[in-house]
Amino acid sequence: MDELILGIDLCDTHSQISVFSPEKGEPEAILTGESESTSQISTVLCKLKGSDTWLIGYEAYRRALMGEGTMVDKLVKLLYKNGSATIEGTRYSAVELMGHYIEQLLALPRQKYGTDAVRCLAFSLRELNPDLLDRLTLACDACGLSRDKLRFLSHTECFSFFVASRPREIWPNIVVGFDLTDEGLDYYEMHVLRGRRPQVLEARREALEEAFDLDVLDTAVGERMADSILSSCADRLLAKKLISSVFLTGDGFLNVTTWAPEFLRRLCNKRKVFEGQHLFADGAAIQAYDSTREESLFPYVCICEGRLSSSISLYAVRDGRNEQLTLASAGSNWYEARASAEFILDDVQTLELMITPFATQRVEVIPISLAELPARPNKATRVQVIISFASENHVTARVVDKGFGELFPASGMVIRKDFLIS
Amino acid sequence: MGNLILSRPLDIKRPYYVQELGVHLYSAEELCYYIFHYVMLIDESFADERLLDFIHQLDQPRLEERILRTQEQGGLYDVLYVILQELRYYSSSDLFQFRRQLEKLSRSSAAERIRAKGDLLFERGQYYAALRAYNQVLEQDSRELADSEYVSRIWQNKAACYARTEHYAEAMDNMKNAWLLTRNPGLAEKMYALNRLMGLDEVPEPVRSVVTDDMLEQFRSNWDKRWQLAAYQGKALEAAALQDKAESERSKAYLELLFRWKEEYRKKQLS
Repeated sequence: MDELILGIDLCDTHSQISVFSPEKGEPEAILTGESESTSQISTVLCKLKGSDTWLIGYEAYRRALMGEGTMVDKLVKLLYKNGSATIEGTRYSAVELMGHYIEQLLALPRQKYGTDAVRCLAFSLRELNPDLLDRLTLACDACGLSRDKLRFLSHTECFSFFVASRPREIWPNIVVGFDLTDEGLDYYEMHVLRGRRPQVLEARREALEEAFDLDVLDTAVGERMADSILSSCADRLLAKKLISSVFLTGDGFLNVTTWAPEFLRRLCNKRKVFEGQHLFADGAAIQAYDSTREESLFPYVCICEGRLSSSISLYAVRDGRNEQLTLASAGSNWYEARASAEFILDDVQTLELMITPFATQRVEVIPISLAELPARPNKATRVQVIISFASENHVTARVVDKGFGELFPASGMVIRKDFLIS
Repeated sequence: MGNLILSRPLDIKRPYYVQELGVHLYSAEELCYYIFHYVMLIDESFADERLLDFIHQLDQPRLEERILRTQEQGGLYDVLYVILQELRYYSSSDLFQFRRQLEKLSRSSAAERIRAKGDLLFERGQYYAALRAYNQVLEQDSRELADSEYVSRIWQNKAACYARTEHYAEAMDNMKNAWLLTRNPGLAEKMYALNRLMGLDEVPEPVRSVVTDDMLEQFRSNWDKRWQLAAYQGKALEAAALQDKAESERSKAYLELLFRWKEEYRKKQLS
């Protein structure tokens, strides 16, 4: 393997890393031991005393417990809060700490496959927060990772990609997933919207209130209680649905066959049930590989958390013809969907952005008044329209006055409008 | 309901320089705008190698070819029309209007075309370039120059150019020439105003005989009103607006404004 194609599931307690093998056509999880459970690498960092050595995962815990270093945990939360930690009198920002963690994490596949080069790295995160993603990008900068090689995906997207990469007979109807970890209990649901070209994969995540601390599984009573909680969740969520397959993931489901008989009985009702520990990392690696290809392996529009559910377009004259120009397409990743285009105003006082939800095709028009722009003769004002996103629903449109060359210098005025899309 | 026209920003390394306006053109849209609105400024030297190089940078090989072909077969106005037609910045009705403007221009005399050029330059504040154009008009051998009213207007325009560049004595000389041709009493007030700009509260010698005391009183009153109004217009207003800025930013803003005015002045001097 010349260049690594990686998927990292970055969570607050554990992370996992998968490497996509183009030869085998599938991802492979990096294990730190013999069993499947060793794919989980604790998201902790330990700096050895009096040295510039940083450790992660189990080794970080062990050396910290032996008093040989200082440990920092919950690195994702720390990054989200833009916090810091002081180790041996030196203050380290959350970005710096995450940079060290990622560097150590990347050392595992680099060592295994004997190459440092990264062709693409996709992060899978439970939630996509713009500040978190910006800081994660900075942490990757510190590791020397080029920004154009980075992708950020939600767990829901990774779930969808993972399922879509399986044989089609596994997902003719609805596919669901349960993710049980110390961070919570999440439910995923994905289905194909029929009769659309290209086909649409619609997926959603629901953070279940029934989440419980995994410590309860240490006792027989706790196991029975957990089984009962999960069973009632299954009754509620799976009722009256045509479900083809169920995927169970997260360290909570390790040994699920031994402690959750009732829950499994409900799931295994004419359905295929799978249990695996690196579903999100695998999904991210699959997407990373797909993004390096000229032609996608997945000819679907994916509508889910992290993806735009509506297209944003406007009408403009191109080469003498009036046509609809799409600035952001439904199904694209909002974090990467920033778009910009320049236009000349020909008797236009209001710019009209058209929002077209993928599901309904009912167009909503967002008007942006251009009355504040400097008065100039017709066809002598160039504007730059910039569309950016703070989430898959929150859109910011900016109209920047670019003047008209030296004939009418730019004022630099910016008209901004924030709005929500469904 | 208007249209948005998609504009493709190009990395133009050698923009087309328009000497009369003192500006560079960086895009096909700007070139079209210049041709459409400033056709009076364009002469035979327009379709030269610089233009072809600029069109080449715009990645318009077909237009390059058409310009060369049109140059062989037609005149400057045909070339201008071909450019607008090929770049499709203006609608067909705009092109029709432009074609009529070209026809009107081609029917007009050289003196009339140069005077229109001078007027356009004056409107844009290119006073030195406008002066050159008006001087050129007076050098023409044209039937319009037999009309003393017409020639008087040219002298008045020249006077206005000198006044705008604060050359009041020259402005007065030109105004006197205009007066001698028509003896139009309406010029008396303008000459009084020029004198006021030079610090003299009187009408100049050639018009003194036609200005009564009442008229002089009216000139004074009009001047005072205009002088007061001037504090709330143009550059004075630009400078006054800076007083609203915080004290720490004010001196920097004044310097920037002064720098901009200097730049504008230099540009006009060069054009």
